[in-house]
Formats: sequence, C-alpha cells, structure tokens
Amino acid sequence: MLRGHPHGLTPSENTWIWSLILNAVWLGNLLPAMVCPLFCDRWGRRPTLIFGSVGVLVSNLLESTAVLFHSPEGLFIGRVLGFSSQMFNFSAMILIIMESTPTELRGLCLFISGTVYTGLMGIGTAAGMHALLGWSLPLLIGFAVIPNSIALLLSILTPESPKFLLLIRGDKPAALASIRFYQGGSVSAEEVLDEARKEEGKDGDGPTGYFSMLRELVSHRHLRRAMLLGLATLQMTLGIWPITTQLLLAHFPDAQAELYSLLLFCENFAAGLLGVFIVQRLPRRRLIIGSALLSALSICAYIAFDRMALVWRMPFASYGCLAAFAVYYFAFGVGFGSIAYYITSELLPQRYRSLGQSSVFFMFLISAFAFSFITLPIYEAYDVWVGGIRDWIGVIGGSKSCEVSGVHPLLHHTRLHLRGLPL
Amino acid sequence: MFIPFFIIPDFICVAYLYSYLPETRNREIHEIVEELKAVRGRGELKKRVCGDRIQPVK
Repeated sequence: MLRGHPHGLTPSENTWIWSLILNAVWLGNLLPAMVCPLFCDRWGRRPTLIFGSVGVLVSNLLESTAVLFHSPEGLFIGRVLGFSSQMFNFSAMILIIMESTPTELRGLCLFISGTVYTGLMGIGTAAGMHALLGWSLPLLIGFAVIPNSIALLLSILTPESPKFLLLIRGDKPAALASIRFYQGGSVSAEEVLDEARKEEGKDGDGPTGYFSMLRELVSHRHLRRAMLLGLATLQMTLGIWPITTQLLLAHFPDAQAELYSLLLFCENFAAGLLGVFIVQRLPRRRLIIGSALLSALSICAYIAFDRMALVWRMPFASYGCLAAFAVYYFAFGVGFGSIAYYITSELLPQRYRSLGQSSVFFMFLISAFAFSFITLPIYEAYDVWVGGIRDWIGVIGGSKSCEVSGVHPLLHHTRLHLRGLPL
Repeated sequence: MFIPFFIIPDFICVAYLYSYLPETRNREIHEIVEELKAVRGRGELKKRVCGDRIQPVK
C-alpha cells in the first residue's frame, strides 16, 4: 500500500479504496442481473449454476492471493467477480429448485434453501470473529475455498431442470430422466410432464427474443402484475434491519446493544427454522401478507417506544424497542424474508420466469442500494421521527455529501447480505 | 424519518399484495398464472381460491 506513497495512504484515500471494495457488491450484482436470463434460457440452468460455482471459486482464490500480495486492485476485482458469479449461481439455483420439485414440496424446498443461506451467513459472520479466523484475512477468505469446492462438485452432479428440458429445449427423454432423478420412481413422470406442458398455454406462442420478451413482460397485465408482486414482497425486506445495532445503541450500553443484535440474528434464524415447518401448512398468501403486516406494525411500535424512551424518558420503553425488534425479526424470518426471493418465479410461466425474475432482482437491487445508502445518514441526522420540509431538503443534501466524502462502512451491512442474495 | 422511508412504502406494498397476490401453495404454476390473468383487483375479483381449486365468486 506504500506504492508511490512514502507515508502511506491518507485517510481520505483509504476511505475511497475501502468504499470501492465494499461497493463491489452492487457492481457485481447489478451487472449480471440482466444478463443471467441469456445464460439460463439459452445455455441452461445447470451450466449457469456450474458457471457461477466456478466463478465463486476463482474469486475466492483471487481474493486470497490479492490479500497475501497486498493488492487492493486484486481484491476489488475478486469481489466483483465473486458477487457476479453468486448472482448467476443464485438465479440458476432458484430456477432449478422451482422447476424440479413436486408441487406440494416446492415452497418447502425453496424456504429451506433461504434458511440455510441465513445460517451460513451466521457461520461466516462468526468465522470473522478474532477468536476464530478473524486474526488472518487470507485464511478467512481462503477458508471459503473448501465449501465452495463442495458446492461446485454438487453443481456438476445436479441434473438439468426437467421443465427447461421439456418446454425450452424440447428434449422429452432427458426431461423424463430428470423427473425420475428429482421426484423418484414412484411418481408418473409422464403425468408430471403433462402438467408442466399446461404452463406453456398461450404464452408458449410468444416471442423468444430477449427484448421482445422484456416488452411482453411490461405490456401484458398478468406478467407485469407478477413482477410488481415480486418487487413489492422484496421491497418489504428493506427495513431498519441494517442499522439494528445503531438503533439499539440509542437505548442500551455498547456491549448490551451488540449482544441484543446477536440474539436478534439468532432469533431470525430460529424463526426461519419455524418457517420451514409452517410454510407447507399455512396458505402462502396468508403467510406473506400476515408477516409483512406484522413487520410494518413492529416498525410503528419501534417508533412509538423510541419516542417514549427518548422524549418522555420512560425507562421501560427501551425494552419496548427491543420487543418491537424481536417481533420484526420474527416476522421477517418466519415469512416473507425467505419467500420474497422466490415468489416471483412462482407467479410467472416458464417462458418468462428467468427474465422476469432477473428483472425484479435488478429493480430491487437499485432500490436496495438507494435504501442502504440513505438509512444511516437519515437516522444519524434526523433520528427516527419525521421532520418538516427543511429536514427533507437536508436529507437529500446530506446523502449527497455522504456520497462525496465516502460512505460509512456500516451502510453496506444491508439486508441483502443476510438474506437470499449473495454477500 | 422512518415513516416516509419505511412505514408508508411498507403499507403500500402490503395493500398491493393483499389486493392481487394469488395463493401459490400446492398449486400448479399454470393455475396461478390463470388466476393472475383473471384477477382484476379488489372488488372486481372474477375468481377466488377455495382450497386448492379456483371457483367463481357467487
């Protein structure tokens, strides 16, 4: 890091490089979001999955090497490659699970994958603690090579999606073999394929070009509505979650606030496990709307308790804030937190599934970026309460000055990192 | 500041989901898509889901 800098980097230069490396998540995710359907629909779901897994593995090796040789450029390139590859991997994985599982187990399988992802995020966060692997960055990054190698091996062993083989590739024998692999010999593969064919319907005669399909997605009401429903569910996942610790610090001492944050994360994972058991027992619509409403109400309750604690000085109200957070994390984990990432694919017919899903992710990523960018500045500048028009102007000005001066690292601990989408 | 940034968008999203989201549990994709095509919004529902079947509103 001393290249051309006899006294090392200035704090400002350091902040810029730090910010660039952290922002790799957006660059890496946005770039492939709209390219992914070209791979998934023309190349296939399985090759895209393998492609993503190889990319993740290469990025791990690149990042470890870059850290060993003190190359921030290498680390940045490795991170962009890693996030891009994970987007390919993530999109292809949802499509394969979606299109290969029996109808009655579809939601359960997708929910399990989301909960496992949350659990793995927890393991990753724990591994970053100094007592475990946090003392050595190359080891911490390099350690991921082991699970990613296993993931690559499993990707290679994963058969292609039966619906893709039948409806897009037109290869019925391969589709039958795929059905037998995923659903066993006890089901009638022919019946499953007959049911799958109904998905084509009138939409099967539609265009096949990328931009023509994009136009159809916007112009047909039911396709447009499916995307808006997916986007609305994903939008609900953007909340006060990224600044949990900061919010709790207003009410509790540092160590206590950090402990509560950790406990809330554990609660979120436990709620996810509970969600695995109830996702097939409760109507999905009721689960999504109920948990989303509970989450919105818990934010309202948080604001009320926050005002009671800080303005009216009611001591018990701080615990009210904690309870509101507990409800928020529970609602998120048990319901819409995981479902949000696959509901779009359940609402779209085969032909438009990949492109529609990627378009929703693309729009959501832009929204998530904007939210993650402004959440902490608006909280630090104006607290949880709404001010007058002058405050609004101040917020807009404040977020712009934040953009110029470099972004606070905590802004990047967005919900995206903790849920479904790749870190 | 949380009201305009989180609470209002959240309630708008919940209202939209309540109005248009079809049931997806234990249903084939073509059934879900058919319902999406049929639903015209709250108050104009052409069909509703009863259990696993789609039935016309009486």
